[in-house]
Amino acid sequence: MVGHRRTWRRVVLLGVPSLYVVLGLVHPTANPELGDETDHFVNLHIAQLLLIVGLGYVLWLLVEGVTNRAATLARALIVPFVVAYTALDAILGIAWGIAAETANDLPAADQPGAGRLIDELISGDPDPRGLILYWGAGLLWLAVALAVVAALRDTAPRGALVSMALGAAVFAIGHAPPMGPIGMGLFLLGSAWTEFRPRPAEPLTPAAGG
Amino acid sequence: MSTPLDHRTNGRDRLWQLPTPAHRLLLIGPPFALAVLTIFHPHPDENTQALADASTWFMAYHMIQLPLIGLVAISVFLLADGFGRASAWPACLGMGTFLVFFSAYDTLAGIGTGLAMRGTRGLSESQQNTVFEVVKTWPAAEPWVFWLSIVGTGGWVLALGYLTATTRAAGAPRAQWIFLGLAAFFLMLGHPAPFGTLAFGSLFIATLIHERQSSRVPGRALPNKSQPSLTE
Repeated sequence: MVGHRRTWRRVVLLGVPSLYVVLGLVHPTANPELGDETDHFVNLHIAQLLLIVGLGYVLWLLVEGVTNRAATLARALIVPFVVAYTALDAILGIAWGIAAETANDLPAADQPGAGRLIDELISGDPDPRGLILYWGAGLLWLAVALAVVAALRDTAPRGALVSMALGAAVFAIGHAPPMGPIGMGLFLLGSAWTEFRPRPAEPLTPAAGG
Repeated sequence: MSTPLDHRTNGRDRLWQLPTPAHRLLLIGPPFALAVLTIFHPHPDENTQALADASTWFMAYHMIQLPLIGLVAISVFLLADGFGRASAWPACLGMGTFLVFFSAYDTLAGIGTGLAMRGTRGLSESQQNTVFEVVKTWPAAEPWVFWLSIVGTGGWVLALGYLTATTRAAGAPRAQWIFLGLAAFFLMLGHPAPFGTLAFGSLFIATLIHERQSSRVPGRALPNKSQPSLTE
C-alpha cells in the first residue's frame, strides 16, 4: 500500500471512532426538556452528522479489498445504516433540540402543548415511530458492524474481532454515555488491533529493470 | 470519434460487483422513482389547519423519499464506478455529504413536521396552534434546517459536477454529460416539482444513455485515470 494512502487510512480508522468517543463523553445523559438549555444538544447532533459520514467510510475501509460474501453484505448495508442513523440523529437529536428551544420562547401558557410534542417524538405513545427509528438504526449499525467482523474473520486476530463485535453491540444501545463511549471505544480498540497486527513479511520486489 | 464507456467490461476495476440486472435496476431505477415521486410533493398552505390536514401525506411522502435518497446515492456511485471514478474524492465526499445532510434535511423538515402536525389531531385549536408555532419554520426557514439543505445539495452538486466534467473529458456522448450537469443544477432550485423532477429526471436520462452506450460496445475497457480522454 502506498505510504500516504496507508497514513490516510489509519487517520480515518482511528480518528473517526476517537471523535465518536469524545462526542459520547460530552453527550448529555438525558435529552433536554422544556426550560433546559439546548444549544449544546443541537450542536452535538449537527456534529454527529459529520461523524456518521466518517463512520460509513470507516466501515468501507475495514472491508477494503476483502472479497468474501460478508464483505459484500457489509458494503451493501453501509448506505441503509447511514440513512437510518442520520434520520435518528435528525429527529431525536436535532428536531428534539430545536423543538425544545422554540418551546422555551413561547408564552408559559402554551408551553405544555409544545412539551407534549417533544414527548411524542420518543415516547412511542401513541405513535411508535420514534422507538422503531431508535432501535432500527441501532440494529442496522449492529448488522453492518457484525458483517465487517465476519468479513475479517480469516485475517484479523480473534481478540480484535471479539472487541469489535462487543463494541458494536454496546454502541447499538445508544451513543449517549455510558454505552456510546464504551461501545465505540471497544470498536476502536478492535479496529486498531486489526490495522496494526503483525503481518507476514511481504516478499521483496525486484528492482525495476533488474 | 467518441468512444462509449462500458461498466461491464473491466470487472477487476469495479468496486461494485453486481449481476447485470441488479446493476441496471440500481443504476436506472432510483432516479426514475424519485423523479416521479417529486411530482407528488405536498404543498400545503402555511397555516395550522392546512398543515394538519396534509400531515399524513407530508410525513408519508418524506418517509418514502428517505430510502430513495440512499438508492439514488447508490445509483450515482454505480455511474461513477462505470467511469472508474467511484473512489475519487469528489464523488465520495460529495455523495457522502448529500446522503447524510439531505437525509437529515428530509427527516427534519418532512417527517418531523408531518409527525408533529399529525400528533395535533384531536387537540384543541390553541394546542394545535402551539405545535404549529414550534414546527412552522422546519420545512425551510429554521436556520439549521436551511443549512442542512444547503450542505446536502452542495454535496450533490460536487459529485454530479465532477461526474459531468469527468464524462465530458472522457469523451462520453454530449447528451450524457449535459444531463448530468442539468441534474446538478436543478436540485439547487429545490427538490419538489418542477425542479426536483427535472433534477432526478435528468439523472435518469443520463444513466439511461450510459447504460445504452455500455450495452452497445461490449468489448470496451474503462477509461484509465492517467488517460482521461478516450477520443482517439
